[in-house]
Amino acid sequence: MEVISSLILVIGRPALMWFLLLNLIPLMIWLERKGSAYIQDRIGPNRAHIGGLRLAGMVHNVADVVKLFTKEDIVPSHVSRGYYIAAPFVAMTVALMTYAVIPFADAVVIGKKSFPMQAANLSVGFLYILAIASLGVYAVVLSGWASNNKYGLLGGLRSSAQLISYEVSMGLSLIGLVMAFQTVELNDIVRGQGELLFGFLPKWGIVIQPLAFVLYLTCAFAETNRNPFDLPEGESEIVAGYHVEYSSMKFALFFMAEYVNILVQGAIVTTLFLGGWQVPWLPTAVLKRHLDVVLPLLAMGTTVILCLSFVILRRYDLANRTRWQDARRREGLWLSRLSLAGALAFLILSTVFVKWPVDSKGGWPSLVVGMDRALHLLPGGVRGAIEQLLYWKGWGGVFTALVQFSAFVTKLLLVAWLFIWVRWTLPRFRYDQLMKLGWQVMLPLALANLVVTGVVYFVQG
Amino acid sequence: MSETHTETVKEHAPASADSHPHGAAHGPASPGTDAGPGAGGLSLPERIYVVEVVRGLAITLGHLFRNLLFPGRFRTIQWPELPRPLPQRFRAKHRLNKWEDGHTKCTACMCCATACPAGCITIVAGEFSKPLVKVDAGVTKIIEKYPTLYDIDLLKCVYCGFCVEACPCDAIKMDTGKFPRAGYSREDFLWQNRFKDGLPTLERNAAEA
Repeated sequence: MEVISSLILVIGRPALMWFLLLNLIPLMIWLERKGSAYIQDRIGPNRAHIGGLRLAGMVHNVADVVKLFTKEDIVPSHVSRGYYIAAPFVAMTVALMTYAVIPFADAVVIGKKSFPMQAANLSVGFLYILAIASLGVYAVVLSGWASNNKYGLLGGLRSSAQLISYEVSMGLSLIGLVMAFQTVELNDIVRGQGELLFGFLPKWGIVIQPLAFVLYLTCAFAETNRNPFDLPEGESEIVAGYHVEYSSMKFALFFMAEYVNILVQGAIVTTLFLGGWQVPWLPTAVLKRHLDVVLPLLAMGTTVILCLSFVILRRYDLANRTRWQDARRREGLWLSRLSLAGALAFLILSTVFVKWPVDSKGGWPSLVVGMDRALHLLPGGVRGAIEQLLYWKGWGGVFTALVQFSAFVTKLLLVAWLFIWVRWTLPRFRYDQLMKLGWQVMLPLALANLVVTGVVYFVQG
Repeated sequence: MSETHTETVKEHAPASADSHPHGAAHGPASPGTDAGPGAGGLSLPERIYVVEVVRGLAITLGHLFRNLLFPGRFRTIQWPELPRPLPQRFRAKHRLNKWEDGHTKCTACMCCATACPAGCITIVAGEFSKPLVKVDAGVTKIIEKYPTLYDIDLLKCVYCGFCVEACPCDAIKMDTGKFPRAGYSREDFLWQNRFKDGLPTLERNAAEA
């Protein structure tokens, strides 16, 4: 059991990270499309469907993948071939690498072993993030230069100047946090944020360093080349900037890297400023002790959310029922039924969690009537294995980690949504405004924040 | 949004070249001019910018939730599943009028082809084996000609309706309410009519609803 669980954890942690990250990309693209449409009073993608199922435009991602994979992969004759091909890979690799140090749950203790819930447990923590994030500029510069295209070159130049300018304030805005938490290791920073300020306020980074939060968020927008700062690809001026010469999956890699970068910045903001995996007011030990309350409550919350989505889907169904003459007309009906069924399932699950005190012996077999009797029908070896699995001591840790993981993902998605939301709200800066903001506003503010924080902590001792 | 426009205008104005749009790092050239847009400056919350950002975010989120909760409010028309209501006098795809017995009303007089500014109408005239006698509004007409071929190239057609106005026999109309949508070849957009002794032998519809 120990060996298996260690193996699962060792392979599972990076795998989970990649799985999460790569599967959130289509979700982000969908959010971008549908969110922007609703913000602008449009309907957004609603055509592509598989057997009538459009999933509010989610199926368009499938169509996109098919399109991008089957498109001709053009390497123009005038490009510098090696660098041209390398650039999108650099973009994607760097974007995915950053995630390695982000803790997505507190260390799981099984038996005597402690498993930190990070893909790589580096003691240099966010210095690694800053280092890798600044590598991202190479992808843009490489692609811009290797494309041998004036728009590409302009995009690359703009991007490198912008990224270098904003990295200064980015790093400076984080120093205050290091002073506050006395460490650069991300998991320790998150643990530090579990404490309470004045006895009721979670000691999150945003509470103790609000200015640094605003500064970092602004820099994060600049680092990901997102809207108010998307001059490197400003399509009205330089077509698509650095990726103007790319097609097919090479373009797709840039496209995906953009969303991975958003998710990475979202994860960093979450980890440093929004308490990371911390469930507010519930430190790990308390959470683990009260799982029999927390898990049913979570399941109930999911039920409520599914009921709300049922209401929305029901209205959607009524609005669309007469519209379509093909398979699409049943979609709203099926989806609303599915959400209702999901709500019911989670309601049942919440009662199950009440009856199953996860880390004490004896709960599970009484879960379903006749389950222990059914177990006795099985041959001894199989029954032993199943019982060992059911009564395994590690379940408490695993479920605690799962709750913290979902807290982390929720916060991450909220920050990622902020990126999309801002993109469809703000107009793009002019280049001189961008530079002025970076050097004449952000930098002094970051330095002032640093000085004030330093003085406060020096006075406090 | 409007704040940004104001900024842009202000930045170009030479009178306030020293002012900064973002943040309160520097004040305007003279104190007291930051009262409002009339004075050429921005108010304090506008200059801090973050406040205005939050206001803008509130507006977009309001739109998002309104559209999420009231999906019936979209003005989008789901064309082609839901056709858009056409105006009564909409000039749609052409139609050749018939007599009650099925003979075409067209007499191949070429008035439509002559009036057509795009030159998209092709007519080949033919002669009835026995002249057609018709009584129209009390007037007896002896009709000797009919079109053996009446083609309209809908890719050339500009839908001006001059052919309808030029027609002396009320033969061509644009009241079908259909219009060509998409096709895979030029031939798809060729509306072909063939007649023998004034009776249609072929009508090949151009790409349409």
